[in-house]
Amino acid sequence: MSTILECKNLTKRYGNFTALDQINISLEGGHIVGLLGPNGSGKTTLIKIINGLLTPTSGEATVHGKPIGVESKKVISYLPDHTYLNKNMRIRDIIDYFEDFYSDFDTKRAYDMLAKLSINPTDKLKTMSKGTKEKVQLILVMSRHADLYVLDEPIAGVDPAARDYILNTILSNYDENATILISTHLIADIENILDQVIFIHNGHIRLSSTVEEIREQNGKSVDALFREVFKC
Amino acid sequence: MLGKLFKHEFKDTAKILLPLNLALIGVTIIGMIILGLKVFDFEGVAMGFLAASMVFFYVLAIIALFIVTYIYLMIRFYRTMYSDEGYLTHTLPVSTFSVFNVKLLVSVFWAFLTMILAVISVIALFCTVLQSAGELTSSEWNYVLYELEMFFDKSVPALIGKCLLYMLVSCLSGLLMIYCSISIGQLFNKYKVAASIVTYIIIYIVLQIVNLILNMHRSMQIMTNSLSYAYQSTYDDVSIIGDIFASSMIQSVVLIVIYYITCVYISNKKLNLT
Repeated sequence: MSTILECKNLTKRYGNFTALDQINISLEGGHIVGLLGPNGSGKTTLIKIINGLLTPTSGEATVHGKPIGVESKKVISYLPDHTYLNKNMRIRDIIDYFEDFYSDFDTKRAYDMLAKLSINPTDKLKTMSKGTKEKVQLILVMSRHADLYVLDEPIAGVDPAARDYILNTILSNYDENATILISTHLIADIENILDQVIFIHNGHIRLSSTVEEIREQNGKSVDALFREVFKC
Repeated sequence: MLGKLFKHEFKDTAKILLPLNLALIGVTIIGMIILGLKVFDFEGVAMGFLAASMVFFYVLAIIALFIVTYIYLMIRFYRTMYSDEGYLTHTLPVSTFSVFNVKLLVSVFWAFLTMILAVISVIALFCTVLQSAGELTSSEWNYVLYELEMFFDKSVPALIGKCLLYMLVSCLSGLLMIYCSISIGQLFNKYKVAASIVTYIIIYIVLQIVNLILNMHRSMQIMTNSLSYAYQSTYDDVSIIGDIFASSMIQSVVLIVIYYITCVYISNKKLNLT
């Protein structure tokens, strides 16, 4: 498998505060990777840099060997950790928007998923509950045939039933050659779908390993190891 | 992609700005009908008061239209570039340069359109009043145009062209000053909106001081001309007006370039979405 995402000595400072310190990551295609860390560990900062929303202080992130830019944005499907769509827009109009800009957007898939959840495409986003909004955003993101899906806290703030739906949607909609990078601190809920994990803490990578290796070498689940590593 | 950016930008902004501009056209047409058909007889104190109130509210509405348009464009720029919706804007497979240019051009289109419609509205209502009072015959109209041509030493189309150019440049520089302040404000990690407002105020004060210094000489010249007994001819005043126009155009163009480079640089290299 070829390398999809590579971060070399990635550093981000806010004044005196170092959010990311010399991060090195290499992700190949066909994996579901958990970016795990406590709140404020640097997960979202790293994700923002990968998506071109923040400029790193030093170091470089590349996608398919090219720096972050128009080409990388064509192949990355990104789900931010909050509502990022215009709340006054109707779902139908948002789908038109995605269809116009992303050549890999599968409109039929989006409408099918909405129909399964009985979400009316003519409804405005602002009329929906928080959980429904998150589902709509996930449907939009997973309706793309991207090479890299970057999902920032996709299951935070929704009920367990919605979590199951979200995880099923993720699993049933991604191409086997694509990679999914999921950031979360709710490890137990997503542990079963991960095959690789990256532990991040205070802007440093504490561990990068496959789930299988963790279980074999430590005899522990990822959740148990996480609790041990990040014990307060 | 550029076409799609324009399409969506126009579609979104038109939801608010199209009805506002149509309302202005509607008010103008109704005003012209009322004034033209002499529906009301504006004689007497009560009717005079009514007429004055209508003029007052009309002027207020025009001012409100400009304020609403600029505030809407300002909030939209901040929301879609540097706030939550910026997450979508900046992850589209389009260069930030194109995104900014499209936003700027569409904003300038609306601000310019509103300005032109407002000017046409005022002129149309004014002419209707004169015409209905029988004070604007075609020979008088021609005389006014002739006087204008003589005073400015330019043909009427050239004068209109110059005014349009000036309006366009002022829209561009006004909007870019706002966008530049917002772009600088978002560099701060906290209180981005407050930082944008403070930046705007600082730029405004600096410009006022620079203008004061630059215009001091010219103001003295006008004062000397006015006070002088040997007041020569209107030619000097016209040339001074021409000078003011030219220097203000040069100043606006220089500022436009500075604002534009700052905005493009910040959105490309210093994006700081939190």
